Amino acid sequence: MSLPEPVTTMASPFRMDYTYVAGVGRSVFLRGLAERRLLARRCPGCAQVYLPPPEFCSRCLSELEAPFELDGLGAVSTFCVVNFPFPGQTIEPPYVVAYIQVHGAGTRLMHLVREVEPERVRIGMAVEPVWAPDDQLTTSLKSIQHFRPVRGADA
Amino acid sequence: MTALAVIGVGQSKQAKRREVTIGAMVREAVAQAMADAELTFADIDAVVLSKTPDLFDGVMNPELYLADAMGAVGLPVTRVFTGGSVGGHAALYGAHLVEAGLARRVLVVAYSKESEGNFTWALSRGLPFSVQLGAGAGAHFAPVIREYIRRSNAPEHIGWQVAVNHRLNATRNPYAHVQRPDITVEEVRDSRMLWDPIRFLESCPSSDGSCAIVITGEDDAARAERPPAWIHGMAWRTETGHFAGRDEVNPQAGRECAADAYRQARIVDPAAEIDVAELYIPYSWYEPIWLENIGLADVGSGWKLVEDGRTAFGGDLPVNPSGGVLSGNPTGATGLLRFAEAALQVRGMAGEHQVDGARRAIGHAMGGASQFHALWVVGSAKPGKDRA
Repeated sequence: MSLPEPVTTMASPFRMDYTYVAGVGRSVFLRGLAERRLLARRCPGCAQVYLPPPEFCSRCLSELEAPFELDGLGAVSTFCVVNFPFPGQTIEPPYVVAYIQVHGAGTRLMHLVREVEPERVRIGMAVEPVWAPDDQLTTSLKSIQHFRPVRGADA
Repeated sequence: MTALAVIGVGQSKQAKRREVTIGAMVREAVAQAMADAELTFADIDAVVLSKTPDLFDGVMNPELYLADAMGAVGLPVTRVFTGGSVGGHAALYGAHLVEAGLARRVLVVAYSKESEGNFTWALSRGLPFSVQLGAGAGAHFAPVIREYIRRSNAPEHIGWQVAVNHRLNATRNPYAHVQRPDITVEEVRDSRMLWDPIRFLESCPSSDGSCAIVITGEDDAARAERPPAWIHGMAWRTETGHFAGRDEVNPQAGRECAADAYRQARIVDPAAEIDVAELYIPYSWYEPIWLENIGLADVGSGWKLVEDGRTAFGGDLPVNPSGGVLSGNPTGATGLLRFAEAALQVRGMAGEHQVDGARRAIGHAMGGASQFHALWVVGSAKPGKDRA
């Protein structure tokens, strides 16, 4: 008996819609983003500042203090340049993905650095957030389109 | 408390395996491990499965689908998941079952079949609390590597040299996916930049592959036909991906994980007392990063071991004699392959990639954003015996 040609593909499209419950801690931060405000919270135990702030310190498990605003100015802590295309990519390479150390925060934000040639980006470069226009502000990090070098600042 | 040992090891060829089903590929490793241990499924008391997220190769609940491939008839099956480190954690969990007296013999099984999905796509989905950057795994680790290079002032050829060392080791391992016997430092240097500073040849491949091991207590180990790999120390540690003051270049969880395993193994000078290390190195620069993190080198000087050739196959501290993750990466099995290679080395069963006189070896695995760390020290001598 001859064996059949093996079946190697099967179409199985699926779609998932999620209901995301941000909780009290994250809602503070996300609501702030829709108003162009970066809200951080400090741990009463270890004095570390979280941005974005969860509800509890991941080190001490203490409840974080009341939110306060940071101006978003910061520095490139480290970065890479994404140089190649792959399925589902939403941004045209090359582009810079960086860990941003926002001044006053003990955590780092991962975001794009644009408005600068990738080869000119340096660790320590001073950057600022570029906020979305009013009609595109949402309760998500999309409210910050990217970070860019602070004009006139030393890299 | 019983001493613990690995008495069976099996693995499939790592490659793009379009000719077999997931179940058949898993069975290749399982059958080999059972034959090595000279046991039948009736001898096994529990099965542990190591696997990456279901989205990666599109099979929901593989622990159910694979029950027959794993011989898990009427047995307790547990699936472990801790990101890329999962194979290491699964081995430790299996050992814990024996140590706790809950099972006499445990079969630990691991696999990924990445050719049936797309990892970079699966890793680039939008998350509610971060910006969607569409960047894949490399874009997470590349900035960490850049930070390591800046802190340590390591010359850039270190990454190229590690890539060459591991690929040359892979030519001794018929199971390894990537086979590049003619690779040179220049070729790595000139390969395409993916996530600057990571080049194509400094990156792991996406592979299909499976691995299985059998863990028992000392009674079975003493009776085994072939030499057992005795477990001298084992630990896992976890940290969250986002806490204030986190140092991802030298994660606290990794340091404490290694220190705990060394303490159990009564190791005080790891670099001198370990003969060979099989580490989770998905991008070449993670060799010096992990050497420092797990105490095999001083902070800032891990790259010098590469520079001096000490971690190459003929060096005094060979790293990844199997070819490592850079030469084959079926992610769900990648951690267990590291742990299994350490066992093969101290059993004297590593074939062409056997390190002469390997008496004590490290198997190491890392997962998530360097959040999950697992490590074991295995030895050719029963723990507590003279290891001279």
